[in-house]
Amino acid sequence: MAVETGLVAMAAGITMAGSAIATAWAEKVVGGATVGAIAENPKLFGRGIALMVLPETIVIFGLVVALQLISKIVAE
Amino acid sequence: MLRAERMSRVLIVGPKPLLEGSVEILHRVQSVHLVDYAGADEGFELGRPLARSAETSESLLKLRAIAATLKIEREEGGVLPDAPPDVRDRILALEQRITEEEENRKRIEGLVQDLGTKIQERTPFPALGLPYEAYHGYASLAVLVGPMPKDAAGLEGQAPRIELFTGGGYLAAFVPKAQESAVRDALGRQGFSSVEVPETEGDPREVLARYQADLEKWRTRLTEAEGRLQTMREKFADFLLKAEAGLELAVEKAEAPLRFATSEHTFVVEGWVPTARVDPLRAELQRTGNVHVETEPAHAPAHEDEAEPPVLLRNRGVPKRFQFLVSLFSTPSYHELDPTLFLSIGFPIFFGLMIGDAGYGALWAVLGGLGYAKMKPGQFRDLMFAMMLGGLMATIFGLFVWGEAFGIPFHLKIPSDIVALGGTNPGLAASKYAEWTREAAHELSWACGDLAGVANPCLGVDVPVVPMMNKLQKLDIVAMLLVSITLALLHLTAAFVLGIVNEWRHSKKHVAAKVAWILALWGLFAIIFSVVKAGCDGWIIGEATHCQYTYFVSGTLLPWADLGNLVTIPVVGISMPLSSLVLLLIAALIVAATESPVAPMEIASVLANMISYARLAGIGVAKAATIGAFNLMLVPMVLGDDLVWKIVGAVLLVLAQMLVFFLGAISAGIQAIRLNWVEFFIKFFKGNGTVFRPFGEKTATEA
Repeated sequence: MAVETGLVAMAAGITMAGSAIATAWAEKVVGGATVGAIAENPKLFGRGIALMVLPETIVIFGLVVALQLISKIVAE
Repeated sequence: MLRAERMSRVLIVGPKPLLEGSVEILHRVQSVHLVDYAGADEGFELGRPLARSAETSESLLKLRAIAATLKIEREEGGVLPDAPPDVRDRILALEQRITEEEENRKRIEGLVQDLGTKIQERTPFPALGLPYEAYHGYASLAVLVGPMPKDAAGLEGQAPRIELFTGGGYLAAFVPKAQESAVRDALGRQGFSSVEVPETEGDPREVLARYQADLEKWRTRLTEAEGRLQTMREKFADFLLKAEAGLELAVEKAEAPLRFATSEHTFVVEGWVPTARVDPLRAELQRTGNVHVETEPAHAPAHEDEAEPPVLLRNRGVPKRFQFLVSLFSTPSYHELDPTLFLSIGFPIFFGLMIGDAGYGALWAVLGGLGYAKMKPGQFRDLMFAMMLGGLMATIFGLFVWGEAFGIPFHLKIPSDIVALGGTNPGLAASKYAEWTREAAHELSWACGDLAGVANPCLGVDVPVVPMMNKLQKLDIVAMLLVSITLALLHLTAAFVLGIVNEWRHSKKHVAAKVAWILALWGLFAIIFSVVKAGCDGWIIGEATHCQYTYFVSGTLLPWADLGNLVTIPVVGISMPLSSLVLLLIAALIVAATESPVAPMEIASVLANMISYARLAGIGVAKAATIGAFNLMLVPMVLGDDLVWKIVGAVLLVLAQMLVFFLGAISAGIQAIRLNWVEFFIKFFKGNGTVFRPFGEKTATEA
């Protein structure tokens, strides 16, 4: 396996790790506030969940970039 | 189905003597959503409760107290309301009996507790062998009684004239008062604590026996009293539950005038009625006499704080089962489209794509179907229905797109780049194929002997379906991402079109902006596919799965875009189709003019929304990779020869499969809902509607 291939794979891994950590951190903040809001007004459940899962998009972006990188490996 | 039931504002005016009859009718027909009178007009005031209100409320209160004493629980689902005419007298009689019985029981319970304490206090004395009078009446002696300390012999050193009696683990010490405190200290150091000597006379054995006989007697009586209450509970539970429901109805009716406006001689009821039910209501009310009913169909609100009509959604059949997912987000307002139908289409498709496995899909379809058939009506049953539909879609996709069950493909699939290379560079294709077969020799499949010379572990089940894609092959994953983005285009376009319908009567400016977002969406979509297509065009593996899909989309959805005609934007150096550039510029101009000068920046969020759908592919791949790893470790164990390892492998495999089965469904379910709630709803759905609750309905649904 060429060195370049390894570097690309590592880049993909770092992308996933970074975006996953970012998502987790963002969801922690929003999730905590959401649970507090739901405790006060259970009607906010739907909106709360919607807001809480918003940052998940970050890891999806990471995934797309990682998959793009991985697909470069076959294309050499 | 897309609009809530049409409502009419209704005003019912009648003379006061007809009030009670009118309330009765309104309660029975259950079609008026009452608007409480705020009490702001001259000559009108809030109505007074009907005459029997206080009495009925009191009966209900008494009845609830009785039910609490008898510990009668209200069952889920309720009972048919039935309050016979003599209900008040029966409740009063019952209250007296039950109060007496309960007081009696409490008294006996007190006595039993009391006797228990007395017996406990007298336990030490029989074994000490002295009559009770021996403990009292000394002028110069102190008496200490308590549990036997470890070392009583040393006490004589403290007080030479001490006299000790022991027995049954207890000690009684008779000490001259002068040495009392010294003896107490010595005993205290050994953890001794003295007990009270009861002020009584006679032989302790006899006294104790007498108390114990008493205790037995009262315990029997307590059981009897509890038995009598239990009998009453069984006898009256049915009556009490029915009467409670009946009285609640009566109270609701009697207190209804509190929500009406009344003048000296008339009453006015204001509310909302489904337009279709106006005529029957009018006919019913006018049968009581001179009651006037005025109605006016609901119209678009003229100003912000005008009251919106309540919302009665009209979904039937499948969409009705998805209504709870919309309500959980927010009830649609009266003037906007009900998105339930779209959710009921979107959810199963998204769920099916993310699971995409015939095994898990079929299991969920069965599990959801069973849950739906067995459960009581409610949100959880509706969720089971959603899971059933999702499971069906997952089975279909799993069978025909990915050709796999429980994470194992039906057949080995040669990676599409090797197939594509076969046409352009057979030599390279052959060497790549040889390389791949070495890896494929370890991969699992249901069918055996797919490829000549590849002896991979297999289960010997030949399903005659050729997989279109494999979730773990790189170029197929790119194809899955492109499919996800295509679904994003269709879903988001639908959302903006719904937004246009919602805004049509409200604001033409917002309509123009929604049109602009659609243009931007399609322009961005064309850019993504032009990039992929440019890559495929000159490539030696241009026939790979994702390229084939790109050609298919550019021929069907994007023939207008002319993907080959690229322009390069100067400074930044990005190439895009001319058509996209035009669409994006028009979109930017429209939103800058209608929304705000910085709104064109928001085009990036349209792109973000579109890429957000990549989770459809992402979850599928992540799930397939997880179960793929488990299968690769455990299935060869099960297929092996060693019986012990076969069993261990089978147990672990079942656990791993269950983990992926449930976790996969949870994440796919949440993500499918999220795509509908966040990406889809936010484009057009405002919600915040009031649910239509006609007067009289609450108790009727409970019954």
